[in-house]
Amino acid sequence: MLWAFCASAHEMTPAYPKFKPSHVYGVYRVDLSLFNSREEIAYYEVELFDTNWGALPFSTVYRVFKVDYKERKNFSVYIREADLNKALYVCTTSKVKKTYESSTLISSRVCSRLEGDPL
Amino acid sequence: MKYFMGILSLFAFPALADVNIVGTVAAKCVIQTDKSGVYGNPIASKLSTTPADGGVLPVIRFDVSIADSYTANITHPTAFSSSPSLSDTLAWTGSTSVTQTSVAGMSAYEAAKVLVDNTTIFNLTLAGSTWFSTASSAVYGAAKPFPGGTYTAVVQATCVAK
Amino acid sequence: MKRKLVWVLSLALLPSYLHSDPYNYGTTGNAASTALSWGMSSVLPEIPGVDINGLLYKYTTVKDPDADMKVHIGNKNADADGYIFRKTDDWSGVPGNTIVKSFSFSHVPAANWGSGAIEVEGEGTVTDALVLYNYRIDECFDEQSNPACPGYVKPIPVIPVYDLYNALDDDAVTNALDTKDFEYDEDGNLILSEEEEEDETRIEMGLTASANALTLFQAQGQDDIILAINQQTNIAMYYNASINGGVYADTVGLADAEIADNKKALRNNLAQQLLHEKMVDMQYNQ
Repeated sequence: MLWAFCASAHEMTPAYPKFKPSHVYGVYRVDLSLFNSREEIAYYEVELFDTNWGALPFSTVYRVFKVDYKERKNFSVYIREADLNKALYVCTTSKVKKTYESSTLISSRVCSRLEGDPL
Repeated sequence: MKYFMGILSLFAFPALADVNIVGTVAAKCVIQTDKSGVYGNPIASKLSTTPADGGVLPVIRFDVSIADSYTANITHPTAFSSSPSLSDTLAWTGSTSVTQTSVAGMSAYEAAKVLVDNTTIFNLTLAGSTWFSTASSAVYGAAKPFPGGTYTAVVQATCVAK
Repeated sequence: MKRKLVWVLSLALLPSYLHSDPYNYGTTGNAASTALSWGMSSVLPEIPGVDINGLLYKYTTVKDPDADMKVHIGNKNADADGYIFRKTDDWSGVPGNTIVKSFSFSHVPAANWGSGAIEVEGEGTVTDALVLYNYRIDECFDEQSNPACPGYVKPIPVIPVYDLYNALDDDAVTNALDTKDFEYDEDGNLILSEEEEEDETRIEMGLTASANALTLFQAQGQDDIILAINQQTNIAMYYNASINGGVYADTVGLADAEIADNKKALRNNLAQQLLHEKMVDMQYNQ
């Protein structure tokens, strides 16, 4: 097709990731993949929320990591066994850059739902 | 006989096998920023994204692959993320609405949307693409002129798996 | 070996136009710009080799949220009954909004596409309709249009065929030659019968008479003309003119006399005289 809509997108999969045991006893991990096609965005922040959208502790290699334009990055989120029942959403949020124009900036956030028993 | 078998073994018989191609369709949500908004300054004390006020409405597109798997939560701003120093209060208003769809039934999202504080929640019950636009305006004090400088506010668009 | 290598390289680097893509792609304007129905001839390029590989439509509905409304977008089949493309958007029970959809096709020939339309069923209206077709043009649809097209056959010039005319094969000519109406003597002169000769003589006399008549008439006419001219002039006046003669005597005469010596040149004259006398005496050896 010759017509193409604006390809400035933020995408994260899977929508329903599964917990897996990690190499550390008592810690589980979920594997996610982030694709960035927002040319104006280069950094994304990983967040973990409960049912009431309260932040929960977790661990990743980088809380805020760099994903270049048209790049896909796989990352893992490590969650304590004690927080497994509370953790509901793992989200990636785009970090918008400050501009010199009076404008509204759009910060996109895609959240996957953690559900089911760990594998 | 053994010579015959030996001769047969020299022929290369094709290896036959059925190769299955397996794929899965998983739920996926993609947020696309169609248009970043711009604040217009129709009067000295007001900043607005409404086209009638000289602004540009931000447009966000949500693509979902499987029906009834996600909700679109769009938060209009209630504060500037960056601005000159302001000494008075700001009165914020904002709203989000469905402006375009890829399926006729998606126009029902508008009537079914839920407003929680400054967040509008749309239940994405159909697979396809939906465009949302967010109107935002801020009035400084009691019609007090805004000081000169750059004003930036952030619209948060979230796609939450159900 | 080197020759073979060069030959292989030249084949490999053969100009790519021989295998280039002969397709051009484009997008039409809005087919629904003026009305909700359109003919494909006014939308697509009117050249051979066009096929359609995509379609996009967008429109806005204005309706009561509770009203039933369906919108049908499609193109009729040009060759048969029915539709080659048709989609229905059901707006029943939902408020009006803007919808946009796009479709891909596997290069359906443009000749198969009949007229298109956006039809509304139920209560409501359609506004701001946009219908775009994505097309492809095959430049080698007519293989003879471009020498670079596969299957192009270099045309052989047509050699014109002429029918040679042989007069001897023409019956009209041979019939004319076979007739014995004309006889010739040894010198090649036509032999005429007595009747023909008398007829010829009478004809000659008649023509001569007329010619003589014209000549006599012309002579008479000429004399009249000359007489008229002569009456306009009096040439005799010149012959009767007389001129007084006489002799014109010489007025200048030179009397014979002795030319005196130039006194200023006496010395030179004496030298010349002496030299003259010397030379004369030399002749007589005196």
